[in-house]
Amino acid sequence: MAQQLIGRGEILDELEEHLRDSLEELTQTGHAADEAVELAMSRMGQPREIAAEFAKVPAATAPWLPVRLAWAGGALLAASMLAPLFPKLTAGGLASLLAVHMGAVMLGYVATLLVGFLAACYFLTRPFRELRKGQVQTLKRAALVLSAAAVVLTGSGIAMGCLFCPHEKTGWAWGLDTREVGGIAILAWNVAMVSGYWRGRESSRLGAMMLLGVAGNIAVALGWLGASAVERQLHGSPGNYTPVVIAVLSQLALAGIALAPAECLRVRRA
Amino acid sequence: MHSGTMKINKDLVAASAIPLILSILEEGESYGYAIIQRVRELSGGEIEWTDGMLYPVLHRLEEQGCIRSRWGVSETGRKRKYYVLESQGRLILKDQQEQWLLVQATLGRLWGAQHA
Repeated sequence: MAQQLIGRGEILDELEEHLRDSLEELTQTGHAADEAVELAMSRMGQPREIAAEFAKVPAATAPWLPVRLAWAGGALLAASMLAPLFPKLTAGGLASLLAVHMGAVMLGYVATLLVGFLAACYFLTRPFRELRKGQVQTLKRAALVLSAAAVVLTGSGIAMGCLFCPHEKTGWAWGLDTREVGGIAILAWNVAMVSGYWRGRESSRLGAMMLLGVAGNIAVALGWLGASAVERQLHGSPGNYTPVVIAVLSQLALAGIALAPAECLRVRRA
Repeated sequence: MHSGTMKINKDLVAASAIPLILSILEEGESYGYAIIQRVRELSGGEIEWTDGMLYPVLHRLEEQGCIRSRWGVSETGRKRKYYVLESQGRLILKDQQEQWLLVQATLGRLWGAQHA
């Protein structure tokens, strides 16, 4: 049975503990040691049959489809965003600095939005069924890794911007222009997300953790789209707030679904 | 899982396993050996499961999100895996209760009428 359960050591540990409990009970009720072992083993059942039943149970590491989509989609998005910047990346000097700044900030925002995508998938799935244990684990791991990537990317992008802007005199470093403020706000929320997902590794409060991702979407909508719209307005052009409003309202609706008790939303199957 | 002194149909034993497990976990957190002992106690020894076959059922219930596990420490200092009922499990248990009570009531009316 040990061979058939390779990679599932926890199961063998659990069965061993059960056998020990059984032996303890049998010896306490007066059975001789060898008789207790024989009786405990016979009560346990046939190892081959037990292993065959376990083979039908999916391993705990089976990933959830939205997680797979997030990784694959994220990789494609990153490649498509970085490709146009490649000539500037290799140009050297300030052009490279600008390209790194733009690339890092965009990838950081995309990483944040990918966490929000996973959160949305979770809340839209919840009325129909709960996630399996393996799916929950891969979801939590993906949220943590993407949030950490967002901190590194957005943080380094902001740092690059601080180096670039004073040089070019095209912006401000810590002059608190709208996009700087937006970026810093998004970075602050990314740090909160990483903290929440790190501390929630063993937690069962998955809904609360996924709400961090929904809030992350709102942060990016306001800090990126909103900040750009405000800056355009400050420079005399009409600011288009419609995409921001739509994005924020959609996330608030999702938060409403998230905060409703799962039982109220449960869709009963026929 | 098989029956003890009374010959209980194996399909009936299999069908009752999940409502029994979920009902026992509804009483509070428990572990595999204690669940088997509780079933034995409640049935007066008439239902005796094959111990090892309980665990694939527990793992499947956990994989479906009906129960959740954690590794703890027993009274003797050994590590032990405990299980607790989740909200999904409570919904499934409620559903199972309705079905079993309906079957019980229907059979009760039939047998009550037949033996009246």
